Amino acid sequence: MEKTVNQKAWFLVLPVLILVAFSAVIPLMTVVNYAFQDTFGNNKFFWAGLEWFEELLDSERMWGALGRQLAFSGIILAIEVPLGIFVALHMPKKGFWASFCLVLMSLPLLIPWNVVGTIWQVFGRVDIGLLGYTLDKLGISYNYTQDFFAAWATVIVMDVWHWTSLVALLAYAGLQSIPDAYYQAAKIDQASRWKVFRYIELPKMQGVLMIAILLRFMDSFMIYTEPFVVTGGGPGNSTTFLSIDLVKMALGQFDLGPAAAFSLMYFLVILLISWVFYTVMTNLDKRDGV
Amino acid sequence: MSRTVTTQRKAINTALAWGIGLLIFFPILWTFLTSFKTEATAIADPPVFLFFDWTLENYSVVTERSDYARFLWNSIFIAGGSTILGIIVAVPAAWSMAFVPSHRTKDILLWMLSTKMLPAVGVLYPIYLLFIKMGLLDSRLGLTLVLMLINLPIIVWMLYTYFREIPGEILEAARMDGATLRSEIIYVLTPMAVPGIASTLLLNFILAWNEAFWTLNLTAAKAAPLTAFIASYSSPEGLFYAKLSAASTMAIAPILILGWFSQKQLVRGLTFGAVK
Repeated sequence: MEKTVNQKAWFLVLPVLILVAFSAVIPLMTVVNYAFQDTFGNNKFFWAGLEWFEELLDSERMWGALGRQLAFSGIILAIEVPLGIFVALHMPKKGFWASFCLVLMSLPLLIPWNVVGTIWQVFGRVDIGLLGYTLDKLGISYNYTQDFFAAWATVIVMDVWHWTSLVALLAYAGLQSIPDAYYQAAKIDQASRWKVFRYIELPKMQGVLMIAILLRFMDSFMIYTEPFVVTGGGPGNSTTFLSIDLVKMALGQFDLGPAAAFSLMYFLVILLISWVFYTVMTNLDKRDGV
Repeated sequence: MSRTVTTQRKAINTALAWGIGLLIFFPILWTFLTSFKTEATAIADPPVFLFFDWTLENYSVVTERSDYARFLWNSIFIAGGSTILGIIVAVPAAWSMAFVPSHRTKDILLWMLSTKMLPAVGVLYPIYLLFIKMGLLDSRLGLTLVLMLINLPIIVWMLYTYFREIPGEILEAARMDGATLRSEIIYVLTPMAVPGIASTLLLNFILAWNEAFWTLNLTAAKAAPLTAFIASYSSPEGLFYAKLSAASTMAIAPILILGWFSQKQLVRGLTFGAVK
């Protein structure tokens, strides 16, 4: 009996496995194929070995984009995670206002990504956008199309606006699962607010926070649409992140070999960082793995 | 709540919560307001907030210039089709992973997640060529399939998380009563799984609806959804902000309305089932 159920169960997983394998392996193979070959543009390919990879490792352009990408992901994680936790801690716990807050916070998550870019493009304009206009009147020189610092600030504020809600919602979910008895016990022990946070709330949020950080890392590391709409990678190359650079290379210049080598390294970097993070987190807390 | 919070502190917290709420809401509100201004009012200096002559002019211009209904229908078709197809394939798989786990289940889930880490940009060109060869370029069917494949790992993950929470004893009880696998699924499992499926459906519908990279690159005139509708208004000369705002409002309105009416499933979906 047990055996037949087991086999039937595997039979049910199979279609998904085939589909995911199809959607993952075929593009990956094509990329690998391009990455090791060269062409004169006549659809005949010949073996190029590690040429593209060597070129890539020597290119300052790639290292520049990678550096900017790491800085961007680092900064938005450093802002969004603490801010999200802070918001979650201060949200009403139940009743009408709780659901009102939840709906309000999910608004930015419902908007198509290129609309997010459009909204901030208009919002940040010095002449007509409320944000740019206000900053300008306050005497802060701000112009995201010309100033390096302003462009970065805009892209980061936009991402924080777009995604902090997700971290907050997940952290809120973690907090909801803490029984009142824990707080009562802490009160009897006269624990400080900080200790309640450090020893009760934070450990309980660890599981969902790990999901939040992983998701945010992956998405921010592959960010394309929003900064592309707002700054187009500029001014100069200052907000050209990895994906934007890759699009320029693959679609702008049709350098398929280097672009494929680029994607492959890109993929491996994401995989490596996620894996390190996942391993560290699961080892920190064996009880609570995903 | 048993923590003592002083009134003063409470007031500060409330003010903070409102402040953050307003900050979140404001850019959307600004876009909404701008859509009712004339182009001249939209670029007025200083910007006007509420007291201007509200006009529907932008909306009539936008609906005249582009066929909003067709974009909307394409969005619904693509987002709905890809989500429903994905759910149909994923439900049996997630069910068997949740109730008949093997020692490889966790590895399979992680592998599926890792397929999401290959940058979309890197595989655009191969997919593009494949689409030309198969005649799927600028077709709703092609886009539906691509988005289904893209979201499939997330659908499986979410369903798996929900199904795992269903107590196995209930299934054992059903088996004791002589239920077959088929009736077990239809009469016991489905009713308990519906809320989880609804949340997954909603979240993935929104993800597919908002997807802008593939929809913009794989469609032209025929199959273009609302994301392309917006893109057609962010013209390089960038002079028509009121019309751009009107188009943006029209593109996000359906999904905001949907979100409003299904808040509970929405929040559940967004938190992968962690908020009940």
